[in-house]
Amino acid sequence: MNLGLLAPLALALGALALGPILAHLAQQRPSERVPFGAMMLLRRMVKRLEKRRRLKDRALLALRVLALLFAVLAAAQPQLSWPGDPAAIGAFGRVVLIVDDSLSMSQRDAGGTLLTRARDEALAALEQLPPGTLCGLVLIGGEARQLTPTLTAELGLIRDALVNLQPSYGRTDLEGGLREARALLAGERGEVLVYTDEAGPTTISEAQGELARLVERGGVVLPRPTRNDPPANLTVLDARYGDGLEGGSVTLRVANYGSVDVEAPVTVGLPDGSEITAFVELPAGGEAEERVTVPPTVPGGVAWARVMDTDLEADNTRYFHLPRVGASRVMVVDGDPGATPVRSEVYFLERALAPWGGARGGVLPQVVAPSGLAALSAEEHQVVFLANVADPSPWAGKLLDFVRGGGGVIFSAGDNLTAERYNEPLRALMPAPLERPRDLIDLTASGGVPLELPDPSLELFEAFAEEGRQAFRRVTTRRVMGLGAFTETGWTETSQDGVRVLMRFEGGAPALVERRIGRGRVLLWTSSFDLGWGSAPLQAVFLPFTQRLVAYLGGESAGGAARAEGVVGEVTSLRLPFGGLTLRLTGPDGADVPMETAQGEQTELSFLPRLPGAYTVQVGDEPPVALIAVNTPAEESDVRAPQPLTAATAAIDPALTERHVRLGPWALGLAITCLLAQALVARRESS
Amino acid sequence: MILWDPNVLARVRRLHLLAVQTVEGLLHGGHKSRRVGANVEFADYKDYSPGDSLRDLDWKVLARSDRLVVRRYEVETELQCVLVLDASGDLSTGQGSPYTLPELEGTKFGYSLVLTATLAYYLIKQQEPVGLLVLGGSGPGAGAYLPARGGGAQLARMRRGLVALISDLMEEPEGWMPSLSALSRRRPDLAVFHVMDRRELTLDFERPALYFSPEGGEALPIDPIGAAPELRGVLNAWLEELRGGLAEHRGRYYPAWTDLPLHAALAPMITGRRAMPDRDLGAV
Repeated sequence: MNLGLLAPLALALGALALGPILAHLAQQRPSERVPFGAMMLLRRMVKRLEKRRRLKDRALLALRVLALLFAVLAAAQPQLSWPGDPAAIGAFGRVVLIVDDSLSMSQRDAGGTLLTRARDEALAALEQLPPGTLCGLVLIGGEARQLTPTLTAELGLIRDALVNLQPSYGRTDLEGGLREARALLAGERGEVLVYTDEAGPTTISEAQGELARLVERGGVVLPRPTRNDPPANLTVLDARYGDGLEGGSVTLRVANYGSVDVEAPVTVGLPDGSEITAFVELPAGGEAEERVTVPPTVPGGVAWARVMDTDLEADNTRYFHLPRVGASRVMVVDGDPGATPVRSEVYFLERALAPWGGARGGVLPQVVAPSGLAALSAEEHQVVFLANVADPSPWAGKLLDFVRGGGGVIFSAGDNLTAERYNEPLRALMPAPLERPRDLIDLTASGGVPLELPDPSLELFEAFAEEGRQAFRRVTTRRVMGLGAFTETGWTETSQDGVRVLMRFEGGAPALVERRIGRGRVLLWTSSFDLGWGSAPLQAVFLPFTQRLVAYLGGESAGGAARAEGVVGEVTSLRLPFGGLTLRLTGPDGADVPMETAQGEQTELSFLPRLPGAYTVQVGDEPPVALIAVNTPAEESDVRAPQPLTAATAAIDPALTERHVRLGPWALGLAITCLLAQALVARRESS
Repeated sequence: MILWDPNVLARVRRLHLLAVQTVEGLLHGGHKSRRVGANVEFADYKDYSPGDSLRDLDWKVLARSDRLVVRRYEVETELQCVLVLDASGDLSTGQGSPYTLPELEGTKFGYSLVLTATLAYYLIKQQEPVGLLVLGGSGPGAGAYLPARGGGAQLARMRRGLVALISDLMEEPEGWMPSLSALSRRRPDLAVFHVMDRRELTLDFERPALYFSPEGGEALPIDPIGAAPELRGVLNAWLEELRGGLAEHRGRYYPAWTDLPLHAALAPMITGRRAMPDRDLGAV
């Protein structure tokens, strides 16, 4: 509520108020002196009158000054204004109703939700429109959309649409809603009634520009705030499985957008159906973090974390990816067993894979002789290391099937490798054709040629911090397996599988070459995993590197499925490392979800999720090739409405949302009243 | 040698003339007043002591008993009259009296002076000894006491007499009423002539002004138009207070309005009638 003056200069007349005051003071001390012989009586009289007279004098002065001040105020034409709507809606003949059906409008309200309240108010406004008013309806949950292509006089259509209104899980697209309203008004003057809870920290600020444009084009925006006071909502902001070597726990971040402290139960649901519940204390308007330990062995997939909250249930659950938890069984094929363990080809590799023993670590290595490849099983093993194996050709088919099914194979070089036994038999498997081993030229005479700094943009190395990546530079080698010509897209003319060099030695010699085959990968380490050709086993980075190799090759999640995250109402995209397959996207409700795909050597997939939950991409009935965790928009959970739309509208043009009353006549009336009152008092005093 | 100021002599003659006119007017057709003659009655004896008049020695007792004794008599005093004139500063105000000396411009004091002279003349004409006590004021006569002619009796020794107070009584009664009480115990005949100026007591002034007492003290800003009604109430209460106090001490109250003829104030005393209430002032 504001008080303004239309003629503020008139306040200068207020100086006239000094007149009565000075006159009053002058009246109290007359200058003429008269000798008087009955002063005793005057003193008696004055004593009797003193108290009463003082009050009268002050009252008289106050009334006279007030009369003058009110008169001055009347001349200044004061005007009182306060937020308010025009007396009647529909004065311009065009009205657009914008109804927020976003996620936050599902907050519980007395006997329903905020959406039902907004709907009822919109229906009531519809009923009160003057006959012939053109009306339009825009919904702003998710993506703003017109429910009437143009303004229409058939209000029944709009009424039916409002009655059948359903809540969505999307964010508030107020900006889009105002844009659609502007399009409906088409430059004509009209009123835009906005029914929204104004939830979201940036909902209003993002719409400022469009709001200004709408007002500029003649739109009269009339906010109809529909929210709970005080606000209250709990939500799981984030849920993340520990991605360190130890793993083992899910970190939850829970927010309380209400005004009171609460303690709420939070339940974590694992892909195998088991649930773990913890209690979290949440300060008012704050967040809290809680860790939930998951069992030693849990299959990978999409898990969820849910906080118990009845104010807004739609955002209680957050979906997140849970990698395979527990030991990944790795087969290590020792191609050069030594007389002592230390002399064995895989001595260092075995300890790097399971430094604490298989029972406690994430990897359970199984060391076998080459003949042990016969026991390779896609159900039992995730990764196979072939360390300096002389002749794997008898198991070439088995290895190929293993990789195509999602498994990972790593070849490491050594003196036993020969091109004849690898190139042809394992042509469909090897990333590059082998040649002869060759010595690298050590220009620094430091005992070998160091690795180049790994590329952090590669998935294999993204888990390493800068210091960790620098540690790779200490890995040196004196000899590598020479590779034949190959291209980045595959070293065979017919293969469509991708081949790329993940790491090189200084001078350009490839150190690690990858080839994707089906849902799996094959890596070729051109040096040895023992101390025969290089120093890798002696470097600190050897342990995390081998652990990371296992995780990278599919040891983390079941079947090596791709993982992505999405938000309801927003287009979600992901890239699959294969092409030419018929894919099926299934939503959390089990129904097929329409999607767009771009097939090539890889597959680009995009879709618009309407529901939160776990989405799966499958090829036929095979295990999922991709898992997508879709959540509700986080900003919708913040129901505190930090910036009211009313204030934003008033900031653009206060006159649009204000009502006025002129106080000049009232001030004049008060001035006259004071004048009359002082006359009465003066008369009574003189009589 | 006293050199009489011609102005003073003229003023006295004027005063005498006014008094004569007033008294003659009052006594015209009236009765002569009581004549109080000297009378001596034996009371007792006392031993002679040096200084006693030998005329009072009782020779017969001396002859019989060879003792020197002095006869003592009870002396029946004359009606000694003392006029007490208030000459305080407050009486220098007032403009409404035509019965005053021109030099005093119709002030209350001028009126009081004429009234006192008239009363004195009347009493002298009644062959009563008259004394004058002037209270307050300043100048040659201030504080003077002129004893009653014909004897050395003092006011305090009077067993029978008249004390006439001519004053505006503008002092708080609790200040002088106790003195009146002491006087009343000696049973004098007390008459109080209350000199009042009508313009003052009705606040018949036009403009607000600072009113001050000639005797000094704080000046008061007064709007006469607004204050007059309130003053009327104060005045009535004060007069009631005065009358009540005087009646309690067996004093007689005679209002003396300066704008009325002198006989209006004197007649009630001389004729024994009650003073007429003043119609212009309601209860006064």
